[in-house]
Amino acid sequence: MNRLLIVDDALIMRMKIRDIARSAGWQVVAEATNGEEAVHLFEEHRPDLVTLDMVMPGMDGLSALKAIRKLQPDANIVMVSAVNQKEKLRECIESGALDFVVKPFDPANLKAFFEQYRQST
Amino acid sequence: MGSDKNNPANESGSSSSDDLSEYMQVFLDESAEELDSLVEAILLLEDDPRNADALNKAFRMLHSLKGSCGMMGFEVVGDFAHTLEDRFENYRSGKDVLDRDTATLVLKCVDYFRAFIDRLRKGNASEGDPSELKLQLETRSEKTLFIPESLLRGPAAESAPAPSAPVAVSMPVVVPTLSGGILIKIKFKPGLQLADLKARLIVSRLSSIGEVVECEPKIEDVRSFDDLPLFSLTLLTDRKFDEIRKFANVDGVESIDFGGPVASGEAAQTLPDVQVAPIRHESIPETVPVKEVTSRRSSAAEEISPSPSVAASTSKPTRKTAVQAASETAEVKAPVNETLRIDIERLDRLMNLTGELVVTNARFAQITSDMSPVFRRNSVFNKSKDVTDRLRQRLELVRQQMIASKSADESWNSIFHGLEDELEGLDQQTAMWNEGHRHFLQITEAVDQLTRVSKNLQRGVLNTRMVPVGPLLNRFKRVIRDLSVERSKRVQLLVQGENTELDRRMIDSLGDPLLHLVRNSIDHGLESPEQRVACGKPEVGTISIEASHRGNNVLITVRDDGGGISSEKIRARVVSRGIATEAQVREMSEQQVIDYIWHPGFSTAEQVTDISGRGVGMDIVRSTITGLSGTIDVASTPGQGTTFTIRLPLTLAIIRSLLIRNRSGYFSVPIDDVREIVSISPDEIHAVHRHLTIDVRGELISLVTMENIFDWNVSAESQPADSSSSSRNINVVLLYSRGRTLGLCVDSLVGRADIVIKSLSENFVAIRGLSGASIMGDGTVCLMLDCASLIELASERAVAHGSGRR
Repeated sequence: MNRLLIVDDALIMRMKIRDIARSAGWQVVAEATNGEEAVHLFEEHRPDLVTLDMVMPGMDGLSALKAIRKLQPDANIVMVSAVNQKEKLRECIESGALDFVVKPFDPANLKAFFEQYRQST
Repeated sequence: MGSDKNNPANESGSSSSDDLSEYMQVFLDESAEELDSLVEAILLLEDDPRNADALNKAFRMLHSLKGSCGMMGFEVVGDFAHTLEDRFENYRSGKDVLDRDTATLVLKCVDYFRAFIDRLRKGNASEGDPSELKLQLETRSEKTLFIPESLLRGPAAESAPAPSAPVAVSMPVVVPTLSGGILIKIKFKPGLQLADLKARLIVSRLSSIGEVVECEPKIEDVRSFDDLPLFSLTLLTDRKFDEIRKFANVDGVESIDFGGPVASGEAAQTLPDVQVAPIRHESIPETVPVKEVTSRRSSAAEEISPSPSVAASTSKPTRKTAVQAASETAEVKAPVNETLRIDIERLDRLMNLTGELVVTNARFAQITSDMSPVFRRNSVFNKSKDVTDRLRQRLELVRQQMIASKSADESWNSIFHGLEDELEGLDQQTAMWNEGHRHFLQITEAVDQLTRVSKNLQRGVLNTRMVPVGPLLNRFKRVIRDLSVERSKRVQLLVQGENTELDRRMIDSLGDPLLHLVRNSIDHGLESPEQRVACGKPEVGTISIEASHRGNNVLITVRDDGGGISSEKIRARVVSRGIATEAQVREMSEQQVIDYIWHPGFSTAEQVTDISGRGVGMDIVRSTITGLSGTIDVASTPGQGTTFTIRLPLTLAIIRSLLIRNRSGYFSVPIDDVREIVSISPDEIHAVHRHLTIDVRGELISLVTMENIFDWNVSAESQPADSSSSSRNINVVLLYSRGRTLGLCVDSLVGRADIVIKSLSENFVAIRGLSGASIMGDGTVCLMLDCASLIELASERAVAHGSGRR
């Protein structure tokens, strides 16, 4: 269980997350740059874990989370968000987010994070 | 990019230094794009401060910038972006409205970011000091914001419920006596951000396997502080500890301790270390700063009210934003394609390799076409079959006659047999040849296939280099805005054809020349609003930049509706600068006079402004465009405006050319420079003022031969084409460049070809009149003629010739 979908509109974030996730043994099956793409790619790949950015053009992280959970109610979705998106983050938690990571993240911590979820998901 | 040593991301200690430059490259490119989008949004907001799309976009760009700065370890810049982001959050949520002055200030902030990015590109990682800008932003906020920070700190904090006051708990409260829950003590990592949300997350996750009956501190009380060292809750569940641990173990949790079933829980009793604890435990240290409302941000105001009813009402606007998001999505027509950034050097290498493939392919095609007469059906095969058949017949004839004349004996018979065997052998050879012919047909087919594939490959590689000109053109909105404010002129910019694609290399080089033209239009072209009104023109001047495809070219026009170029001023300037004499100038046509703006060091600006008129003028613009194998022309109508037309090839990599042959050598001419080809008889050539001239439909065109223009090595000297065969017609290629036409005599026309041009300058001294070389299908080198300089050379030689003889 190590198939990961990365969702972030910023290439540099995707690169960082991708590299760290790979080093923690995840296989990145797809990357999306906005919510619609995320939902679409989720449906296509059914990954074991999704990292989901909050602020994106078009459909944002919260809406994407809801849409994905509708597709698959037990989908494992981790929000990646800046501190000041707290209200949305709270709503994400209420909508069933598995966990969240605060941006900017420390690579070592994120790696530990991925390792932890590789074992538990 | 900058050397890794200077790379500041090292300091963040985030990862090994190998991939840093890659991150840095992406960071720089992405940030630059974000800044462009930000500027675009702000310019929109200046006219329409409540434009929701633009507000969202600006917010998103700042948010993203902040994030990537944080990622790369640029704390000062990231923090500053954060300040701005918060500001835009207020605009976005309608708490405040962006006024023009603040917009100007924000643009200055963009300049700060840009300067930072530029420094980084050069390898200088100093983040600069935005405190001055920050101060200005804050000053602005005091003047214009109706929610100053003091207000946020004061009344907002007061409106927060006193922590000791009873709080409506949204969690289902179970009467303690009924509960038989497990006490779970969770310790967070020190300094964990948003620990309150983590606590919430744990509650939410645990709720899926049981019922959370009690939290300490109460989940509502922990809403707004980051530093929550310890959190405990009581869970009613039938799950085992291991499983509970799994659900409680979110990121950021340092340790999880179980206080054991509070009462008589049946679950988890198998574990021996279970302790029975009272439900009202004392484990929460007093240091938990319940009262503190630490969030400095305005958004804290929204978070103050804790009651469930408010929580319910806040979900309503959120739903609205979801709808908004959906409608935004509907507007976005095409989904964002995943893109990959590639170093343009790599694309260049790929392009060169593809070019060589095409050349090699052309050689194959050449070789197969050279071979085809030999292998053509009915040729060798049939002929040799005919020959053997005839030989057989004759042999038979000889044998019959010898039998008839009874002169045949044993020795003759063996000779006949020998001959028949030889013929047999010949048949076999012919059959083998036929086999070879079949293979040859296959080769021809394969070469055709290869040709198709390599053409497609070439087109594909070319396409990867093509980018829309939109971002380049839109960059001028900002310039125009700034300049028009500075010059007290009112200007609107119209941009058309943003989707026109152009080679990336050219886009990079076009920025400066276009910028110069736009600045020129504002500085010298457009009149002041008063003047315009006096002339009966609209008060607001218009500059339009338009890009379009025209055949194999891209045309970019920069047009203004200003006063036009004053030819009188140019005449005066030309004379005063000693570029030409008064008499010469008087004889010139308007267009000829106007073309003097391209003369080096020419400037008609009456006052030297700090932006244009610095002497680095139109000649630089023109040489840049020429360097891109393009041309630039100017047309001006007094009182109505000026139009600059830039014509560029779609790509620098491939040039459609006319191949010509002169003496023993091949030459190519870009097909765009060929006006037409005429065939004339020698007696149609006239000498006008000792210059050879031909008459093409009433237009007199001067005629040159390659020998007139280039100094050839005398070893290859031969008679010019016209005198060697005086009766034959002569092919003349009419070359056209920058409004001038020249007839070039050539020995023969070979045809049209797409040429992959190679620079000569790497290995040879630059030769005027030649722009490069290419390799033809048969391996010979073909030189490309540079028409513009050819025409110049021709007229110089003509002048030298004319004056020298007189």
